[in-house]
Amino acid sequence: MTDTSLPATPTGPRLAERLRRHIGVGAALVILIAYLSLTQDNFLRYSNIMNILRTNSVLFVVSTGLTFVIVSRGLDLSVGSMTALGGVLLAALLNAGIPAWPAIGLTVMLCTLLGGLINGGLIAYGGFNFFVVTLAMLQLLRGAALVMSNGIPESTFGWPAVQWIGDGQIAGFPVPVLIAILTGLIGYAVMRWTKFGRSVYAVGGNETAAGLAGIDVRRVRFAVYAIAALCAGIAAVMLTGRLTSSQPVSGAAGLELSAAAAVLLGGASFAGGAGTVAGTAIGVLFLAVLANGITLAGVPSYWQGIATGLVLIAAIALDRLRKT
Amino acid sequence: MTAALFTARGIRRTFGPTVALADAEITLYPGEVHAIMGENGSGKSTLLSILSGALEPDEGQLTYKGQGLSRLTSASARDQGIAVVQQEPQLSPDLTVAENILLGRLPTRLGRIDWPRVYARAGEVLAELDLDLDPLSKVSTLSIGRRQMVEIAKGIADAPNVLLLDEATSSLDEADTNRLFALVDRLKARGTAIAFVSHRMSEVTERADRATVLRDGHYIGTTRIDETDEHSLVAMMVGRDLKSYWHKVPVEPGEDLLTLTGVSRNTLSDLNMRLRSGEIIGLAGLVGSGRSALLRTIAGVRPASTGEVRLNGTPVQITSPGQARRLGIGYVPEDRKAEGLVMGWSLLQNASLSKLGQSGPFAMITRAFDRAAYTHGAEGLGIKTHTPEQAVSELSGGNQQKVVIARELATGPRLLLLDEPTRGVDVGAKEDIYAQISTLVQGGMGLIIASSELQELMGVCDRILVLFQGRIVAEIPAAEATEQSLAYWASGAHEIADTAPQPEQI
Repeated sequence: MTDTSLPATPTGPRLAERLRRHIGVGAALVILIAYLSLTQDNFLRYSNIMNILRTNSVLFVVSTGLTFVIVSRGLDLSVGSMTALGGVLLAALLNAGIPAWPAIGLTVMLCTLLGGLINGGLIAYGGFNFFVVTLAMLQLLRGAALVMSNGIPESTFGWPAVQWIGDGQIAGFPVPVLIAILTGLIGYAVMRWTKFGRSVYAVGGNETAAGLAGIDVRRVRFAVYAIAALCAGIAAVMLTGRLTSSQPVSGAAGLELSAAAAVLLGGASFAGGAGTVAGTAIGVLFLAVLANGITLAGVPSYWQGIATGLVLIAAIALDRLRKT
Repeated sequence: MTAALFTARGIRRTFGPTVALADAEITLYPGEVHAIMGENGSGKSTLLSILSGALEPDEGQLTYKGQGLSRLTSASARDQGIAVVQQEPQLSPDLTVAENILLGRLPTRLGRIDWPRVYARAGEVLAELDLDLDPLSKVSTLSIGRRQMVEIAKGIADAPNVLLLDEATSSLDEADTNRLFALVDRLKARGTAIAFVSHRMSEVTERADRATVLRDGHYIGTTRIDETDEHSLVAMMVGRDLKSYWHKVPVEPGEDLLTLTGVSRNTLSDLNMRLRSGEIIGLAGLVGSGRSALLRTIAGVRPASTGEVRLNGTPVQITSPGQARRLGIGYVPEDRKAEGLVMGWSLLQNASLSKLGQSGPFAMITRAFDRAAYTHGAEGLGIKTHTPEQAVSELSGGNQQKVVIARELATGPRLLLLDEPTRGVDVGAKEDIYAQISTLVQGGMGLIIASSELQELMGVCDRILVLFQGRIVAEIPAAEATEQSLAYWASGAHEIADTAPQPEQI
């Protein structure tokens, strides 16, 4: 069989491959939803479902950005701090008299610039280790948020546009959920169908080969950290709007780790080259439904961390089992 | 002939559903050099592993010195004088050369390691290999080629009766290969039986006394080397007759495609060359001579710091691999696994990797894009796969190499740079690659091929440039080249000798 022709039904193995990749967590999500529907009367209510989606839209937007980074075989630990700093920046800009929409745009741009230049610049062009750089930025950005605000939350109550983004509705549908869906769709399309998206997979899969084949590896690395920061900036506006104030101390604490957990649950791996935004969506939903179920069942929310940790270990063990 | 020293009969070995060996056999006599031949996947390495005790056969009989061997293990094989040298050095990088050579059998005195004896013994072994290596240096400081020599030293440290070499020369340069075979000759004279697996036909025809050929895990036959030739051996291995192995056809060269004038960058100095379309230039030289470095410079990986590069008569600055692709330069790197392929990807995705750099930033990368790249690039290469959706990691070495070449051809290059295009590639796939090269030059492409297989360079190329310490020291028409003349220039012997062995145009 020495043929270069293509088989008639080329989607077969790809579909199977995709099923294989998502089936573990996807199936677990379905089972969890089925279980909660049967045991918790309130679970399937429209208000509860919308509540789950609304409260997790910030996590999903951040996770979408982080998917790019993890697929490229990197990690950005600073996205949570960036989200906190973004909130402080937005409040400061608003209180300095800048109108709401320009202030929102400026906040997102500043976050992107900060993350891109410092994270992306040092990692891609300076050759620094991503772990060290983003760990330093986790501290640095959180510190900057505290210094800028003196640790005091500032209200954004007087700006309805900000509230609308964080907690508004369009025809009864929450705006933050729409933003999350839009971000996810764009992220999915970019990863799946653009030259840049393919380059991210190539750099994560084999950096040397990608470089020798003509991909500008440093530019790709720079861009993924800028994208992670861009998403953190969007998330900052959403979070500030939902809380009607910036939260320099507690806002977005630990968000980077929840996001990393969601991305890994979604089929990505720290070895790079694998993962999709669709998978990340399943990962976020799983964590969200799990947390919601724990609350509905009246289990103290302290258990949530333990449950998340166990699920993550189980998911990775399952993944290893499937690969061997 | 004397009695057989080591025989294996009816050997069968499976790995899950895969039958690696179905009915292999081999007989080794004292004082003979025996080549084990076959395409990739024919079971050569499995057979060697069984002979060395690293693998247990499912069925079959091993006889050593007239005694049946049951349950041979690596340790018991070594105790009985059966030594093996692996393709990949199995060394502890943080230990010294001496410690590695004598690992597991360091001489002791009163329960403590007798260091003077360790260094003396290691020195003897190194001297036997004619190897100028400090027994006290750490293995981690050595090059891959040197490490392989230490691996060989480890194998002969116990003065074995049987020495098994598994592609021991694949990472050695010409000089070290010669050292190894000089040692093989001395061991042979002492009555040692030597069996080796090699992909280099010239090694087999020049060094071996007999050859056993395997195909798809079956024993095909054993033949005396002086009663056969390369073509018959290759025919035995691939199971068919080969009209013309190299597929060399005369092509009338066209316009100047690439000229280098005084090109230098750190290790490369003052390189001049001229390639016309329809021409194939070969680059010969030892490991580190600059042949790969030269290709990397032309491919834009490490741009030239001085000198002029002209493409189709126009001066160009090639500053990145992406730019090289846009200029019509394709580059197949030396190590397909580490530098060529994204192993987790399908053939389709790998096929479009280089073409990606040619497309604009807003191009849609769909499956149609991948398919077009694969259909165009793989045409005529004979890639064996049941579907191009298969992951490249599941392919044989030869097919993987073809995928890297297909990926470059998908970009439609006018100049193709190949670094070790057939290393670790089975004979059938090699021939497919040579046939494709032939088709390409007939279509007016220009090629530069760097290879450590001198036979390949002489068979495929029009002219051969020999590099030594970053300089081009000889340019020899392939028709006039011999392994001796190429090795002479590559080894730097001209630096010492007053006269060249034959007049060359430099």
